[in-house]
Amino acid sequence: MIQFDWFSRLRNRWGKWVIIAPAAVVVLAVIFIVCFNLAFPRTRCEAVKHLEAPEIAGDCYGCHVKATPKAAQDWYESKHGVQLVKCFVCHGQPDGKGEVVFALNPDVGICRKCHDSSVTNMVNNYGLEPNCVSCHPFHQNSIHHRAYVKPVAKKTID
Amino acid sequence: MAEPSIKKLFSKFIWLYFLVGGIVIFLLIPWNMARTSKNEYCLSCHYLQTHQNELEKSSHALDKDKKPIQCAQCHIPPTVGPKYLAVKSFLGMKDLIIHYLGDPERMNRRNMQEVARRFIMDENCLACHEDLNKDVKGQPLSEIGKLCHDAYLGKNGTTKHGCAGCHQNLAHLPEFDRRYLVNAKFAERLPLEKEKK
Ligand code: HEC
Ligand code: HEC
Ligand code: HEC
Ligand code: HEC
Ligand code: HEC
Ligand code: HEC
Ligand code: HEC
Repeated sequence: MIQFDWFSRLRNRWGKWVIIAPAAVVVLAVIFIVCFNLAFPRTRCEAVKHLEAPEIAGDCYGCHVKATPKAAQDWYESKHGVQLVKCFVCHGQPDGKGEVVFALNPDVGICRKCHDSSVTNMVNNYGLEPNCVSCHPFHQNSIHHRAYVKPVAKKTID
Repeated sequence: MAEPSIKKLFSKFIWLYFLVGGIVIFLLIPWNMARTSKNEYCLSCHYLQTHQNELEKSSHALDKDKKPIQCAQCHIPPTVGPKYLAVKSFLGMKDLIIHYLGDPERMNRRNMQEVARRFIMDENCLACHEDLNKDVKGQPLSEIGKLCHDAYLGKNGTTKHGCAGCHQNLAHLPEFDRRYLVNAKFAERLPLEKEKK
């Protein structure tokens, strides 16, 4: 076979190293990528333990407007903020009290409490797809996703 | 037979060529690493001038001794070590690939922010901000700031983010982040830059 000619010639010359050397390179590359990702994680840790601040625990917005200013402002400007759908209605209480489980990314079941008919509509028409962002690009302000890309309206800066 | 022996000599010492070449490249690495960490090198790509212009209007234009803060002071780990090498080689390769094969004029700054934040080491910030209980004027930090920093340090809960994840838009402010109230002061300083042009 012509196309394997170069390979068998290499084999004759270098023997088993023809296999070992590329394999070693691949293994080293994989190790490098794994270590690299471990050394520079996207987030410091996934399971965040929320801080405790008994005196101001009720004022989620007051603290979050400083701790996570963008998420807080997105909420404040959204329909949820205007209608005062409070943080813990979706996210639950950090200390685990209340019926809603504390979560960064609330379950659709929680949205259903207020949006049952629309969500049912949506599920009937499109099924329940986990990637909410792909269809709700302009609604994202309401759920303050950072991918929110509404054009800057009214007050332009320049 | 002269010819085959030259050939033989060549193939016998081929490892020598690789060795010499390797040593030369190896010796050039530190020099290259230093060269490509300078501001002049970053700004030799003209599209990064935007970032420099923004930096000059930000709170991080000058350090305590009124010297201009360099790109490397935030973007590259302060001490040479495995992390330094990894960051330099990864960011460098990425920059070169995008510069030559991609379209740097159409930067997606939203995605770039994510990448940049991931590679900004907390050590960089701590080099200038040693005491997390004081604000930049040396006054005690606000109650909420203290709580947040305690969470960061793991004394009271934990945080998902490092310094750059909570303190965003310190040095650069793309259009889409200007509507946020936290950035109001910074945004105010920027349009002047445009009017001047
Ligand atoms: C309508 C329900 C809802 C309300 C009300 C709400 N959130 Fe959220 N929040 C979400 C969802 C959904 C996400 C996940 C979005 C994502 O995937 O990034 C989220 C994400 C977040 C995040 C992480 C953002 C990020 O960029 O990683 C924070 C912090 C947060 N919320 C805080 C708050 C605070 C503080 C309030 C009240 C001021 C609040 N939320 C009110 C639904 C809500
Ligand atoms: C406590 C009730 C409540 C819960 C729970 C709730 N919402 Fe809402 N939502 C509202 C109200 C009230 C509005 C405003 C409706 C309007 O003005 O038309 C709204 C509006 C919206 C809109 C339309 C916003 C727009 O800009 O057009 C979206 C999208 C939305 N909610 C998504 C969600 C998601 C996703 C969840 C679950 C994480 C959720 N909501 C949970 C009460 C709720
Ligand atoms: C295939 C596209 C698609 C995906 C994916 C999708 N949605 Fe929807 N969603 C829609 C459409 C279309 C509507 C409007 C339904 C209606 O009112 O008839 C809607 C409506 C809603 C509403 C009601 C909003 C209102 O104005 O009352 C909520 C809440 C909602 N979606 C949440 C979610 C959540 C949470 C996810 C992720 C689990 C998600 N959606 C994923 C298309 C989608
Ligand atoms: C070269 C030293 C230096 C480095 C590196 C540095 N800073 Fe600063 N930082 C300063 C100086 C100087 C000021 C301005 C003090 C003033 O305004 O009086 C400042 C101000 C600040 C402020 C308050 C002003 C504002 O814009 O909100 C914060 C927060 C801050 N830095 C965080 C950080 C973080 C996070 C990092 C890491 C990405 C960092 N700094 C890296 C020197 C530095
Ligand atoms: C959980 C979010 C969070 C993290 C992580 C975080 N900070 Fe902060 N930081 C805050 C808050 C909130 C304040 C108080 C802001 C205020 O009072 O206006 C603050 C205040 C500061 C200030 C004083 C700013 C001023 O206006 O004088 C500096 C400097 C600072 N942080 C540096 C850092 C450095 C360096 C790191 C990384 C080691 C870091 N922070 C990590 C939330 C955070
Ligand atoms: C004293 C300040 C403070 C108060 C009060 C507070 N939070 Fe937080 N919260 C934080 C800090 C700091 C973080 C960590 C942010 C980070 O990881 O970058 C956080 C993170 C979160 C997150 C994201 C968790 C994750 O996995 O990333 C949610 C959701 C949240 N808070 C909801 C709430 C709700 C709901 C309340 C009110 C019942 C509340 N917070 C009250 C400071 C506060
Ligand atoms: C005070 C620290 C600091 C300095 C100095 C600094 N940067 Fe940044 N840079 C950041 C942070 C933090 C981010 C992450 C995105 C954000 O939060 O704004 C970033 C993001 C970036 C990004 C990608 C995101 C975007 O906005 O496009 C580029 C490119 C960049 N920096 C280039 C530069 C260049 C070029 C210089 C030198 C002229 C420089 N930076 C100096 C802190 C700094």
